[in-house]
Amino acid sequence: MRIGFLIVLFGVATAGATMASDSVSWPGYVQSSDVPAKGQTAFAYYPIRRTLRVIVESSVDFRGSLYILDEAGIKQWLEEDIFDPLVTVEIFGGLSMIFQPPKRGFYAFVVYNDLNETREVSFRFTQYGFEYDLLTASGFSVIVGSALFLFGMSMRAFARKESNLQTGDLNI
Amino acid sequence: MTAFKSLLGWEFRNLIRFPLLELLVAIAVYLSMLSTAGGGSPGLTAQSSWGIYPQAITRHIKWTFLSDVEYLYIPVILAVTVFASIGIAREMEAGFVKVALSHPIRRRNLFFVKFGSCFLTSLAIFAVALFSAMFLKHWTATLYILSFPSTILTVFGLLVYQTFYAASVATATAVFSRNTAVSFIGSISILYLPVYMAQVARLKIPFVPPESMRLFTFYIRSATVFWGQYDLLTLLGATVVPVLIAASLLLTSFFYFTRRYDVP
Repeated sequence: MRIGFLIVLFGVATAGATMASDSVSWPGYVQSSDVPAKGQTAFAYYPIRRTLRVIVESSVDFRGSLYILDEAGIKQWLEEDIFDPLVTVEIFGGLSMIFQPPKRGFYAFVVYNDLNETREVSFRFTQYGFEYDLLTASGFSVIVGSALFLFGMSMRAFARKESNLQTGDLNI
Repeated sequence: MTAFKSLLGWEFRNLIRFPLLELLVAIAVYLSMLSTAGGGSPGLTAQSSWGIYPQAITRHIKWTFLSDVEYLYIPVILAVTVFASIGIAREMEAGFVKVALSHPIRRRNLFFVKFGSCFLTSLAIFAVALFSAMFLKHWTATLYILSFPSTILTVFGLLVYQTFYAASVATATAVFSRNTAVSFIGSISILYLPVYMAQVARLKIPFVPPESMRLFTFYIRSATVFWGQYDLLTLLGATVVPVLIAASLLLTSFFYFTRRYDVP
């Protein structure tokens, strides 16, 4: 019964801390880099765990693409030279988009330059929203803890009833 | 040995009674989960090092959680102070120690049981909270964390160092004061004083936690930058002196409890 109560507390504390920390959006991470003509520049971040607003800024005539790879995609690219991005978006001068990562983890952002000259590209993102996987885990631990707590309570009530019945028998 | 074990079991049950354990678990889990939010900001990995990204990920997790151990200093001192005041000072004040010593129990065993239960209970609560936060916040990197055990060992080692220091100071205060309120307020004041001085008077004492831990984690994070700013004496002062202070306080209180303490 007490273990159940502790698991419930664990879940409530986890949910409370997650909601408190996720109630603010993290300021943007800015990275500027030169993208070579017909080439690419790439950055990888860990951990990406919430919804992202991705902003790419460059000159007005910039033409290119942004590719987002998850960890499996990065591994495939490194080991097998197969480029299979999760998301592909065309860039016309600049870009602002929302990316919802399928799960928390390691993500790479690759900017490709279609032009025949080098351009400076500024890449930034802001994380916002809730970490739904943690909230789900908290909810699960609250349910499991409550079930254990109720089971312990009912077992105790049952044992008390049995004890009362036996005492009653003795009295007779 | 059986008497020692039963004494230890009784002491643990005394310290984790309802609602003390529940309150401390809730505080420890909440703060551990909250602290990783600040330290868990994304780390950038240059494309040249993508080939070793599992190492980069575990290094990022290690750095984040080393900062979290420092952040948990105040809740740790709160826990050890509560445990030492309840388990040692209150029992000396109320005469439970007299009852215990009326049985064939050695004084040294009673002392070690009291210090050990205070230290181990606090350590267990905060280790469980910290590692739950580590594996929940980084569940996709669980295999990497387990493949590089230095992450877990370093974080756990720093937590042991911090808890040992706080538990020794709290135990010594409880043994010498023999009064619950004086022990609680005295331990909190002694352990919190360096934090207060660093925040208010900008006076950082490098050889007591939390400043010594900050220096030690700075050394673990980037040794080359550390040597650029500090010398070997600072590192030794930050690592060895707190352990020496804790050990000497523990020894003094041990000798006082076993040789000098007159049971009223």
